[in-house]
Amino acid sequence: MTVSRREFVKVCGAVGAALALPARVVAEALASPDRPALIPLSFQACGGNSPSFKSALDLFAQAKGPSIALVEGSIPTKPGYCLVDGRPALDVAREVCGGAAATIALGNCASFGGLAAAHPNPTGAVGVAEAVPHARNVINLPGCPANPENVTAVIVHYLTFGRWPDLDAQRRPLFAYGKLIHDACDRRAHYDAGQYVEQWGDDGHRAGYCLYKLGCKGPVTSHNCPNVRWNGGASWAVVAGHPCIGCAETKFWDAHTPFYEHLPGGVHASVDTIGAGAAGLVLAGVAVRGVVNAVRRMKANDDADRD
Amino acid sequence: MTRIAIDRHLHVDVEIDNGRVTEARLSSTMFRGIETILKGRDPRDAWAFAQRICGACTTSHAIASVRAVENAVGAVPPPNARLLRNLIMAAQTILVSTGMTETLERFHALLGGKHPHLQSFLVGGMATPIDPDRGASLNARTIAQLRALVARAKDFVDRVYLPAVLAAPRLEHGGNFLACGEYAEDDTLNPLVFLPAGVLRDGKLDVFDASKISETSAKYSWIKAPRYGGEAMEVGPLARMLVAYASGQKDVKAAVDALGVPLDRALARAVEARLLAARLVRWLDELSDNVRNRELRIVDNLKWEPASWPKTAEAIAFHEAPRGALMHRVRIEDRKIADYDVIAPATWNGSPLRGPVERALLGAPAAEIANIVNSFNLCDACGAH
Repeated sequence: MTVSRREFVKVCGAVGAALALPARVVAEALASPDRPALIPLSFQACGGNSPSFKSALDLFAQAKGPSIALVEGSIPTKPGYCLVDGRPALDVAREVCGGAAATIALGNCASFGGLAAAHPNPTGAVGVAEAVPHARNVINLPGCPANPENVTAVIVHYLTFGRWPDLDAQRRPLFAYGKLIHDACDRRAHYDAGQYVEQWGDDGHRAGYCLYKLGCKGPVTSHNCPNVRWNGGASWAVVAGHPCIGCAETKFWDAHTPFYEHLPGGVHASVDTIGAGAAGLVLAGVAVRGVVNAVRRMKANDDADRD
Repeated sequence: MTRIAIDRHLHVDVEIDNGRVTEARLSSTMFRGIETILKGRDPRDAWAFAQRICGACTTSHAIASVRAVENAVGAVPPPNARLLRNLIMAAQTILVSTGMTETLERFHALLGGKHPHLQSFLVGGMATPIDPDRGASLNARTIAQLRALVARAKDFVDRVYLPAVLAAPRLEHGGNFLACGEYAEDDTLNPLVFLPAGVLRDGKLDVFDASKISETSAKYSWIKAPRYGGEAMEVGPLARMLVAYASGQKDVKAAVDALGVPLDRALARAVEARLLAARLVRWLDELSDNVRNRELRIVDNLKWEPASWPKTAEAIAFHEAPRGALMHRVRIEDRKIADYDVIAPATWNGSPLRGPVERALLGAPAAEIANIVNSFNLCDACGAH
């Protein structure tokens, strides 16, 4: 292993948090001689997933187990836009991911095409599962970038339980994507109390109120940012004061923009005007409660005034 | 021609005769079309798209983008936003130069929620609430955490990084250098900057004039070919330090004179990292003073709503990113992006048609090729985007 003991213990703790396993179990799994050999592949990428690459590759150096492709970046289906060692990205992806025991797609680009696939998708970019339909055990870890803790957690899950984690319909592990950001949000209590940030830097913003009205996509985004956080648990976007942009969801660059426009329905709308579709159900709950709480708060204020 | 791989999607084709390089062509083989993707979108979203041009210098394109839109719509970030951006930018430059990831990524996460791809940028300011009496805001505790991380970075740069670079062999350099200026020190329209703008041609210092920038392209690379007054320019830490020295910037002059050896690219990075680490302490002091005086503004809210903007606007903005001068240009029509253009540091340095890297290779010994190319610290994601 090419990581220091201190780093190793830290990784075990963080991964244990993601999987709800004791750090000791994680440490045993990572020390297994059967740990998989990782093959890194970089296609149309910004390089932002390289921390994930690095931590995983360091932990799994000199491994003897099955080969697993770790992919960052989208794959252009139109010719000429991305060459890897002189060969078209699509050919390399088909060969390597097609032959691997599993493929882990790091970040939204490798998972769903991400930024390059945003309208009008000039290069015909797609994610790995779409580019290589015959690839086995494709596991998507969308996010921009993927959270390194979740990358290691996927492999630890495999080593600990002898199988890959259960996935949702978009091939995302349930342990990391099974819950809406909104449901575990640090600002959730303020949402429930009908307290919203109205303007950047206002009293509500400073007090940690809900960012819904400034465009937060937490109510329609599943990811474990609030629990695992980022960079050794330092923070996450909503705690830092900015709305969630929903980077763990498919096509978020188109579906979630304009970023600062609030979700349909919600505190301003009556229940009738709430959008339909998969997000609609979630939103319905969000909106109903938001309206009820706002009314309740106004009533409470009225009552207080009367007193 | 022999092909030498530099980065994931960057390579240089060279011809070698008698052990010396006689022809060099640098090219990038990765393209996403981000400028095209930005068309038709809300200009306030642009920073998040542009930021993803690069995950290594993850703050650079976000900063250049919010500045371009601010210049176009007339938004003026308040003093705290300037300081927060200075802190974030300087930390990014030190991170790229030193590879001190853990400490500086944590520093960034405290100010931007996460690294890479910090998420606290806004057109008109920063989304970081500041309030000494609120746990959900940047407060005394945050400032203390930031100070501790800066102290660790400063210690590493002073005691390990700079001495290690000084001990390594030096590379020669020549040609033209361009720096666009960075780190505003006040909130006026034309602020004093810590590192000045300027252009050096054959050792002669000239003022930097954005209207002299033009762009062409070559068939063999996705990287465009920017020119200043028709000439290729080297950008980056060496350009910044040489321009600052020639301009008489006293901190830079003192630091460089104390070295006892001439600057090269690696040494310029180290000297700059040292100066910036010291400067971080001052900007934290200023931020702390603002909090004490209850100067808590973070965004120009008057220019947040697109209805407050002119219907049509166009502007450019510059930023000294870790690897050199970065330019974003935006044209806004009907409050949507009509056109977007990026010239990144790797576009200048990695430019085809005899750009700085190609030129540095010509005539060099074959054994030095990798050293020379690596000294530019090129980024393949930025070069073509």
